[in-house]
Amino acid sequence: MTEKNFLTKALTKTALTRRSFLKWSAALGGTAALAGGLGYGLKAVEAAAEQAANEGKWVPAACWGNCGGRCYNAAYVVDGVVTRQKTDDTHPDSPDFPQQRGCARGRAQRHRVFGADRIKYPMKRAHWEPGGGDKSLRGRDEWVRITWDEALDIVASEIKRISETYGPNSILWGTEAVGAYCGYINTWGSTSSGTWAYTAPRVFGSQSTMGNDRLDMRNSKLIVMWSTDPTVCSAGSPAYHYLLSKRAGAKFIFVDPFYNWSAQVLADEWIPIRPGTDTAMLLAMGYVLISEDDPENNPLIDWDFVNRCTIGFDKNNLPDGADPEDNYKDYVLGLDRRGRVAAEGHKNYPPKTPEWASEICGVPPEKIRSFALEIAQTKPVAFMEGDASARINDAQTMGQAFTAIAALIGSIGVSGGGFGQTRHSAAGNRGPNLISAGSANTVLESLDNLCELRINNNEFWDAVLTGEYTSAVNEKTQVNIQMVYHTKGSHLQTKVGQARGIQAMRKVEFALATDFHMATGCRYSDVVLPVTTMWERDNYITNPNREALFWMNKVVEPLFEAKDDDWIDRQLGLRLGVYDPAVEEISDKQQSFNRIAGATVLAADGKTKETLVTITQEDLDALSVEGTPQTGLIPVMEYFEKGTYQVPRQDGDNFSYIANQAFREDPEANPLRTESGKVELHCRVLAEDIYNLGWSKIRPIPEYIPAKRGYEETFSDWKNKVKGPYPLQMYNKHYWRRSHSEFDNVLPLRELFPQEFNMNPIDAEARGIKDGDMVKITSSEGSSIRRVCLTERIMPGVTNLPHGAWTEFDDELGVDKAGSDNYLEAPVPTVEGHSGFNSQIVQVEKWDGPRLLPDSQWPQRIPIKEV
Amino acid sequence: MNIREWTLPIYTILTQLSVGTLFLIWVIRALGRMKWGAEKVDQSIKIPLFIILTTIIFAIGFAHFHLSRPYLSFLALRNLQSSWLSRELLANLLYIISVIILLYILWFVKGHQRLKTILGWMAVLFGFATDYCMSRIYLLPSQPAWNTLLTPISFLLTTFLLGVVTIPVLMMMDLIFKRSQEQDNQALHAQFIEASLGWLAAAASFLCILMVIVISFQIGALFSGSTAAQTSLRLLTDIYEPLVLLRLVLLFVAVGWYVATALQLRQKKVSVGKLLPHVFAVCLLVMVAEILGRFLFYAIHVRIGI
Amino acid sequence: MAKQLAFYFDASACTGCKACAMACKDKNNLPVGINWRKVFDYGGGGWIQHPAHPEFMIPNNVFVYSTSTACMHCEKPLCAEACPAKAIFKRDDGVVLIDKDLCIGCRYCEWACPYGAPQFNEELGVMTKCDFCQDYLAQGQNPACVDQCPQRALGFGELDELRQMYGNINAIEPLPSSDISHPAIVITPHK
Ligand SMILES: Nc1nc2c(c(=O)[nH]1)N[C@H]1C(S)=C(S)[C@@H](COP(=O)(O)OP(=O)(O)OC[C@H]3O[C@@H](n4cnc5c(=O)[nH]c(N)nc54)[C@H](O)[C@@H]3O)O[C@H]1N2
Ligand SMILES: Nc1nc2c(c(=O)[nH]1)N[C@H]1C(S)=C(S)[C@@H](COP(=O)(O)OP(=O)(O)OC[C@H]3O[C@@H](n4cnc5c(=O)[nH]c(N)nc54)[C@H](O)[C@@H]3O)O[C@H]1N2
Ligand code: SF4
Ligand code: SF4
Ligand code: SF4
Ligand code: SF4
Ligand code: SF4
Ligand SMILES: [Mo]
Repeated sequence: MTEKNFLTKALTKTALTRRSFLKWSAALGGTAALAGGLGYGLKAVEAAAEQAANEGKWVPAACWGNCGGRCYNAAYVVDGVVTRQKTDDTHPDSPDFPQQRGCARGRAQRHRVFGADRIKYPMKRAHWEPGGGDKSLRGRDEWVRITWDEALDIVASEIKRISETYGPNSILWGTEAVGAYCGYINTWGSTSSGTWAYTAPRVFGSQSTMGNDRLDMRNSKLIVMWSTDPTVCSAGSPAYHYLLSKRAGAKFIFVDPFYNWSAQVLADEWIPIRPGTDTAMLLAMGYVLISEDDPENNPLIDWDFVNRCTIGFDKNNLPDGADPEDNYKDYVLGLDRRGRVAAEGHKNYPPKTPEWASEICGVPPEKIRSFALEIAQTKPVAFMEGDASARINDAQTMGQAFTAIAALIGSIGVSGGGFGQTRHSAAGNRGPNLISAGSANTVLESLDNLCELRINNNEFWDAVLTGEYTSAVNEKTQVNIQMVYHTKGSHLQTKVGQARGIQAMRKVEFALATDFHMATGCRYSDVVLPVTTMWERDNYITNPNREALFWMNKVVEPLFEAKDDDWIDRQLGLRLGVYDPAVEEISDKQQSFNRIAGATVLAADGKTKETLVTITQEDLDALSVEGTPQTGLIPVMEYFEKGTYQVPRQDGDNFSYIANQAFREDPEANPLRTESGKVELHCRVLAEDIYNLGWSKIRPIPEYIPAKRGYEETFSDWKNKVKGPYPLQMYNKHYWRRSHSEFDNVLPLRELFPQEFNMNPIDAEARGIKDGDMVKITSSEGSSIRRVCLTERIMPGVTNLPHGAWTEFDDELGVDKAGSDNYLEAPVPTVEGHSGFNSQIVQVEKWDGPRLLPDSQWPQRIPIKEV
Repeated sequence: MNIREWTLPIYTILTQLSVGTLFLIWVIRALGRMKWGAEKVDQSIKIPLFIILTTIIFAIGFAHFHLSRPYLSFLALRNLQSSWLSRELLANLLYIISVIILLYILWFVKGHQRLKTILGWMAVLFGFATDYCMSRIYLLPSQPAWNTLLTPISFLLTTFLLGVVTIPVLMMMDLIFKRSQEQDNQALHAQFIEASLGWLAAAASFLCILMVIVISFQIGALFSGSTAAQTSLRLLTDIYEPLVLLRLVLLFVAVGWYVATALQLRQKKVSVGKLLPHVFAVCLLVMVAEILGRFLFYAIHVRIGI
Repeated sequence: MAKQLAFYFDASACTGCKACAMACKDKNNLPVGINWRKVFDYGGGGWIQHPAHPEFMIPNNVFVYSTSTACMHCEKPLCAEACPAKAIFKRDDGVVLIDKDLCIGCRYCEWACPYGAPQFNEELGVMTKCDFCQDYLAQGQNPACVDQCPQRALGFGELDELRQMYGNINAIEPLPSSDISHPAIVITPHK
């Protein structure tokens, strides 16, 4: 309760009244004031309901965050306070025309926006001094409230001082103002789609044109779900679309180390596989298809497609100048250039038989064979994947091997087929948008970042610590980073090597963060600036999927002293002299209005575009924006109040999407955006580009390379199968509680979704670990302690630490106590510089120290306890 | 320590202690009248009865800590149709009222022996009714650890055991009190204690053995029961094992002490006047053991299903 | 016409996402520790050595499904039978409600209910539980949990009608036997 006292005291100093704060916090439940009003006797309940029905107003409210979903959300605002939320009820629900229902996180959004742990005003670290002061106190210092002017002056002067002292390449990350003043170093490397980010454009031309739309998916006979869990990772509608495919008759097979939440509803079969070994399995499937195909009696391969639409399948089908041994077929069958079985030591050795693969991937050989046959003999098959199996060190060829199977079985360009990414916002419904917003018509041009230096995600913390990074093949370059600016990304939390990151944060001279809550980056900074959430802004327009367009309103005025990022950066830029004070950007509200005024909807013919909203002069006056009256499908005020327009759909409409149909029909006329215009099972560009990045030399075909920190490295002696110091594989599943690190602080979500370490009972028993014990998980980077949840869901030998928990690094114990994935993840720069989060090896033991309280009982991170 | 966790163990144990003791007092009264005459016997049970009454009132008062809104406790009488809790409360109130009346007429009304006897047995009856309703509360299909005949049986055993160990304490207290008042009643008390302590100690041993048998049946039932029952068992053996052992040890020490005291008395190694510390210790140990036992009873119940 | 409102739950569609549980928490302002609607993952099976290749471990009937439950608004509400203060009562439409003005906080209903539905609010000092979103029903709206479910795994309606549509199953593992309190629920089992 001291929290409450502190807050009320603090609040009297801001423009906000004590009353309104009490209202907010009471509205979060658990406080007698309001709950008492709503919770008591029957008469009181009825009265309260009636009152609520009359008094408040539903406002369409954003649900943002990088969660893969975009669902409808509305906030019930009574007298400036949000007392409850709801999801889509803007039209009756039906399978063809479904509501855009949200997940638990969306429904908990008000706990995030109004949480007692919101950062309320600018703050600096108590022992901060220009140049840093005692830098080792970062992460455990007290916080002091300062004014915006003070804060911005500190930031501006530190930027000036550091860029003048250490030169242009001394600031890591930044904003437009910093970029225009002195430039900032950016980091690079795929974190999200793993190696697909590099592989897909080169092998297939794009990753976004692989799957079909949701109504066409009901035509599938078999849907393969390879390392994907749309239920969790594309919460909202996609899992429902898949359920409808299932009810329309599709069989589902999941290939995954974890019997995930999508599998529990959809799977007819589950093939458990070790993380990071998918390429081996895919190659063996290719081996089965090629060696058992008999066009007459047992047609397995879609030769028509392979011959017309791919290159690199065999040695007769290679680009000029290619090594004839670098073709898919010979590599898979293990043949040399003369077509004989290659000898040991030859680069195509050994044949990629199911037996060869199964030793690596853990799937028994018969299963590999029967699975390959089943997908080849069933038509049509949707051969789908998430990108988790490509978030693996050295996995550059996973996407190519996967694409090869899709091509061999002919799933590309057919109804009921499709292949590739069904992850994040791409899950369950692909195809171009049926409704799109127009332009914001902003007046200011964005300024360039003066610094061109980019450091790879696997090297930047080391670059801070050691002053060196890889700049080209066999080439290291010096760099002196003295400032870190955390904004709109939780780099210290979501990038690999957090243990080193914490050290790095204690080395630089200045660190700044802007955020809503004391997330990890803020915690280790010197100055923290509070930003407004989307509920306090006027500019949230988004396509939840191809069928709808949302325009979410501002729900409340900015809380406490929170400011928009744009405002902050402008004030900073004015201090740094990069902006002309006389020229201002048009308001967020005007920008949003412009985008909606210009929004278009595809007409029922599937070709013409119609204007979305009708605007009258009265509307312009009511919204107090500038514009011209126009005629459209619905009145702008109705759209504004609903916050959504969704294109009605039904079977047989003109909006269905079958990816790559034209390419399949005539690949010459409709080439892919690859070098050859075809599907590249031999991809020269991929090998060349990866070589030029400086870490690896790969072949242009989908060669299997054991991942660093993959299954093979759990052995100290692979031949004799002797386990090494880190005998278990670990990966990070994206998890219900959070969208990455966002939402981790939300108490009801902490309660509903505990952050637990998953392991199979067999591995636990071998270590004397019981369900619910506290365990210590150790990798080469350090240790983390957590409660263990034993489950048959996960394959023996594999463990899972759900992704994104805010580290609670204990300086005394030297361990992380939150189960922070990246505390254990080591940066391993390989091939294309992506982050191989899912290839990690660990040891696990019982932790005999004190048990941790459930996360929902941990104190909230409220930075200033007393004012 | 959370006071709420202890309200029910203490309330139920004290109530059962009072019922068991009252019952024994009335049995003794019935037997004693023949030997010493009604008036004299009644004189010597007034103070014990008074102590019993205070105990019940304390118990029911203490039980209010169990409620979040104790000032509304009277509402608990609203559901006599179906709630065993309502019924228990009613029985308990009748029990208290009858003990008050009994005490009143014992104290202030001369003669009327028949009335006194009947009233006494009525109070005993209400006491046992309270005990019965109390045990019925726990016969819930959703709570397998409770939902067996063993619950009322163990409640009853506890009631008798507590009576058996409490009686001599009350007698001794009365004795000491009377001595301090220089009223001469010691002959009666001394005689009574000399006559009965052996029997009481034997009864205590017997009840204690029954108790162990019931406990083993209870564990057996949990062992072969549903998942919930097995979870209860795991609680008992994993977390609460020390408490279970402590309870048994306390019981055995107490009963051993009891038997030893009785033997010493018989062999005249100790005089009646010096017994109080012994019987008091025995009573206290049993009470603590039973409160622990009851605490365990509450601590290990696990709902079926989810 | 005997009326009994009831929930419908489709275990074959439920992903265990807990959106329903959060919707309930939000709508009813429930603090941490109180969850009128709860979701459980229930699983079984195990891992065995592959009969032909003992070096492989293979799953043997590993399964998991989720159940989402709230108060079952039972036809034989044991909670109401137990409540000494008659604070719990069954309305004409079958909805079982707690009149918090009458609750003395004895927590007997908590023991009696086979589903863990009644949950005590320490701060208010009264027992609370799912009230079928009676205020929403009165306004012709659906319960908050039902409207939130992304999988359309929850429904509600007249018990008889639900039975006609979806059958008579009213208990699946790990729920207790329906004989105890005759829960007003219709369930489509997982498989
Ligand atoms: N070990 C491991 N690490 C992973 C992954 C994994 O699987 N395992 N997954 C990876 C993947 S796929 C991804 S996409 C990345 C995501 O990595 P990030 O993008 O870094 O993750 P978020 O948690 O979304 O970080 C967003 C941060 O910005 C803040 N924020 C949000 N909106 C605003 C705003 O408007 N203004 C300001 N100033 N701040 C804002 C949020 O509060 C939050 O702190 O993580 C990667 N990291
Ligand atoms: N709730 C929630 N949703 C999110 C996010 C979040 O943080 N939280 N993040 C969003 C973002 S930015 C992204 S990129 C997506 C991520 O989406 P995904 O990459 O699909 O997410 P994951 O759940 O990590 O992994 C999907 C499945 O792959 C399995 N898997 C992991 N490694 C391997 C492997 O090596 N081989 C095989 N065959 N399977 C493997 C996992 O067990 C899991 O079942 O999710 C998005 N949605
Ligand atoms: S999936 Fe994402 S957008 Fe949808 S409700 Fe959940 S958090 Fe919000
Ligand atoms: S589920 Fe429990 S609380 Fe609800 S009516 Fe049935 S017995 Fe009562
Ligand atoms: S806690 Fe309240 S509602 Fe429950 S039984 Fe007791 S008085 Fe009745
Ligand atoms: S009906 Fe209402 S109160 Fe009951 S579980 Fe659903 S949301 Fe909660
Ligand atoms: S919202 Fe629906 S799918 Fe999610 S847990 Fe609840 S019932 Fe299951
Ligand atoms: Mo991502």
